[in-house]
Amino acid sequence: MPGLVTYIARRLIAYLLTVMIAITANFFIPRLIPGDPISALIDQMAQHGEVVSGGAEIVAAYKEQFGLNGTWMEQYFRYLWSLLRGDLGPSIMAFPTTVQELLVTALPWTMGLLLVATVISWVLGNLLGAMVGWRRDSKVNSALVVVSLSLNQIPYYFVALLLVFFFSYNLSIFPSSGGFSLIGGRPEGMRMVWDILYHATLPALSIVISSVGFWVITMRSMILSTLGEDYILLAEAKGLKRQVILNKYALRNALLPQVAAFGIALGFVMNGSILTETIFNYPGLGALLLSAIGNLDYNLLQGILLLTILSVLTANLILEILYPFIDPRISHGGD
Amino acid sequence: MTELALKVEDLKVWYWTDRGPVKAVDGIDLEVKKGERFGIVGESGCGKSTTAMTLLRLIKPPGSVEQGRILLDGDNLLDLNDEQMRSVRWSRISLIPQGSMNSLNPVVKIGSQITDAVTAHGDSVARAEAKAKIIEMLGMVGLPARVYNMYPHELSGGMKQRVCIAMAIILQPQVIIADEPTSALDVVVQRVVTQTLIKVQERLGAALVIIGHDMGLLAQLVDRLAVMYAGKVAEVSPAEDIYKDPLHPYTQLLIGSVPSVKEKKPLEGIPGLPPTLLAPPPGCIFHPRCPHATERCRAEVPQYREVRPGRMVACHLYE
Ligand SMILES: Nc1ncnc2c1ncn2[C@@H]1O[C@H](COP(=O)(O)OP(=O)(O)OP(=O)(O)O)[C@@H](O)[C@H]1O
Ligand code: SF4
Ligand SMILES: [Mg+2]
Repeated sequence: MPGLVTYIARRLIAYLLTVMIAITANFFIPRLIPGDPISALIDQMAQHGEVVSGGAEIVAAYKEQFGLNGTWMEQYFRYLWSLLRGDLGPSIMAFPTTVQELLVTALPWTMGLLLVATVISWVLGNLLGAMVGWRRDSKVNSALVVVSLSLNQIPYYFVALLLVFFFSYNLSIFPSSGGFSLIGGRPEGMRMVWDILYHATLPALSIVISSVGFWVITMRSMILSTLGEDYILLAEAKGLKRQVILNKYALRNALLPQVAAFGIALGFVMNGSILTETIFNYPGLGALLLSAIGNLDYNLLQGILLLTILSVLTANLILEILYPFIDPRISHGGD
Repeated sequence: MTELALKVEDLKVWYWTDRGPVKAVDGIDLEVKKGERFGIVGESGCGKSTTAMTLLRLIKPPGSVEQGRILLDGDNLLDLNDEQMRSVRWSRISLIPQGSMNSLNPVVKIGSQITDAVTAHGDSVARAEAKAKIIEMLGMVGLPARVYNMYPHELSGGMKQRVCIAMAIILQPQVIIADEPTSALDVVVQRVVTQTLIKVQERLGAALVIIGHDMGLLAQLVDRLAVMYAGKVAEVSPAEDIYKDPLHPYTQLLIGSVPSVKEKKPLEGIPGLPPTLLAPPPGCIFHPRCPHATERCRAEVPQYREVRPGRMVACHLYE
């Protein structure tokens, strides 16, 4: 057990260091985008016909409001200090709404859609992959392999647009955009749950369809290479039942790299959310990120990126701590 | 009941490749008596492992058993259905595999892997008693009880090999096949592990088929020795006879090529290469390398027969 404690402590220190570096990068990178948000805001207001007088004063006032006054270094330490207090600052584009409020509204949508779809895709893909690898001679399985290989090649947006085209425009079975019904008032209770699931179906389907092929193919090849191992042959020589050989000898080994790959896939959830949420006009973090970039909303940008980085790093930390429990060769004691 | 533990009749096992069948085992006959130690020796690629795998019916495509019978205590294994074969495996014939280093599941504890073998064949009583039995068997091969709770990567090569031996005897089968059981170990460990294997076999009274490529080493261990060449059996003789008086020209050359410590004979080596099993030569398969080959050898396949009491040879010289 002392091994476990030092192992976790070590991982935690590495984790905190990475977070620190990420926060720093997170602060400076948005400021490297040309232009500044206050001028953008005032331009926008002017375009909408609002009278903007005393430009310089207003800019200065706003800058103070959003913590954009002073040198970058001063801003940086102010930023760190407010982070420590859990304050991400006000959003610039949606002032006076705070960044936290925007994140809290958007996060459940992205998590609910992307995370659930990624998990479904992983589970489904690994089940199918194990099946086609285990029973190689079946015709249905060979067909499945071809389908998976093709799916893996089709770009995501193509799948998404095809789904929208058939299921919304042609057949009108599912809505083409949005996360919930806007017309006729928002439903309550179970009706609301159904409404949300109904709206999430196409986006989720698009994610599952375009990513499941990858899991089928990788799991199939893992199973195939595992089946060639000496310990499978010996398991068969021992007269074990096929089900035991599959579950305890083949699957357990073949799944290990798949679990590690899942951790990496989690890191791409945010990437995926930008495309998905844009195509389906879905109210999540990806959509929020896009408008934050468009409006040069430093605070919001920082908030979203921070959240993304934190969730990826945390997911990996959890995986690193859990991995030795499923693979005895990686011990908690060693490095 | 016969006094034979295992009888192989005219067995052919071919691997079907794009270029035609590789005749890895091409009509062999073997008889292993109950409780006997029986050796199979031959160069790499002559079909030893294929033979071993076929005895447990573990040949996978592109390999296929083309003909023959494998009688285990009188029952032809090739006639059994899959479920019958499954129950024969390990309870009546077990295997110490060639690649013992990788033969243990890396993510499952040793005890659990041996228990699986018991569970697959036993009733609930056997299962309940499994742990004590497994620890006893581990002790028998010289391993401490704590190995039960260890993972393969925590063991040395020699210890893994002992685990494989303990696993092979856990159900006390009548026949144990050991395919080059020590080839991956260093010399000192090899000797110790081999001694363990012999000791255990004697305690159990099981027939042991040991496969190897070192004729000198094998001859010291076994009662009788089969010499295989290119998918066929060249000679089967009692170990001491085969060493003093090898009959088949191939056996003679093999013994000539074993470096002897006592006599300072020059190392002879066998000229030529073993034939490709895709297109074996006609007549006697050994004739391209045989110093005694005649016209008849090039045309006619020699009969495998008993040429002297207890000595089987396939060679025209003894007809
Ligand atoms: N899956 C396969 N496909 C085609 N040929 C094969 C296959 N497996 C084995 N062979 C061939 O069958 C022949 C016998 O192989 P086998 O493994 O039985 O030899 P061996 O006597 O055990 O050799 P070694 O001493 O190297 O273990 C070899 O020529 C080999 O190339
Ligand atoms: S049959 Fe002929 S070629 Fe074959 S081993 Fe005997 S003498 Fe040599
Ligand atoms: Mg071999």
